[in-house]
Amino acid sequence: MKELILNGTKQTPYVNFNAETGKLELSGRSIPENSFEFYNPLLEWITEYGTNALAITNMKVYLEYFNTSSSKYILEVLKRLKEINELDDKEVKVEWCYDEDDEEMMETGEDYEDVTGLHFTYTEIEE
Amino acid sequence: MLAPTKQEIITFDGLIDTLNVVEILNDIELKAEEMGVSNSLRKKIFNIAVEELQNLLHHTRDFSVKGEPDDKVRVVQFSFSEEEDFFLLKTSNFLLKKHLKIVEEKINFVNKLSKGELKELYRKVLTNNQISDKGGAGLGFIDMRRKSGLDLIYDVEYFDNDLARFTFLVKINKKKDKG
Repeated sequence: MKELILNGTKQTPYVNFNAETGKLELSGRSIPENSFEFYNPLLEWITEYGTNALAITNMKVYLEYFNTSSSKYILEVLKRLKEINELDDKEVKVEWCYDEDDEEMMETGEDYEDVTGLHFTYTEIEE
Repeated sequence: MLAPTKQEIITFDGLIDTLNVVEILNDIELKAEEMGVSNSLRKKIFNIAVEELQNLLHHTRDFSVKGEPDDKVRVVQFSFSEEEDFFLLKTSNFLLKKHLKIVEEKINFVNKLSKGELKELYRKVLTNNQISDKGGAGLGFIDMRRKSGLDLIYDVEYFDNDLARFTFLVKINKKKDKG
């Protein structure tokens, strides 16, 4: 399966989804005006990956900002990963990274962890 | 008592489009950095500005009122300013009087909620699977109220026709990073 790599911009995050390694990364800022347009290919990629996922998938999220329109799509990304996590012998680990002074971003991670039921680990990044 | 002295940092007056939004956000980041605003405060300002500006864009881009020129009813104002203790992010735009009630109700509702209740509402709306035809998630006011930690402020100017001018203000306390 082809990897999905998108360079980050001032409006959209860096994306690196790799089916060979099971490592998925979403980082930077996510404030697109049209979140559907940006996130739909990511969701489709995860759905396809789910049909032949590795035993362990590592999802790293390190967002500086995201708008409320992105927030629902980030949830959708996590929900699709949760579906993979529920398959036999498959596990999805989510690493939620945030800048050291950004308590709100950490709490947002907790919101997502609670509503998806996925297990998150939290990494504070020194600026 | 004298009104606090307000210093304008960035102002915009006109028709807004995607390019304007990007430019204004860039300017806000640059100015905040030049002013030595802390990272956490800068993020709050930026996040709230994104919501406000994208709201303006979504609600005015295709706005039309019979008998009124589009370039009149689509004019918006945005300002980023500061007082001694606060940063202020203010918008102003026309909307139909019949849509005003819903907006006022949403703002009055979130203003009444405690921090815990806002968190609960945020999670509820986040998971309700609804996205408006304008791409809105219904989380904007909740998120701005959470980030600011202060009441959202609005004012309405009524006109004889179906229009009202809606002014919206979010204040951010400079000395209380954690809202």
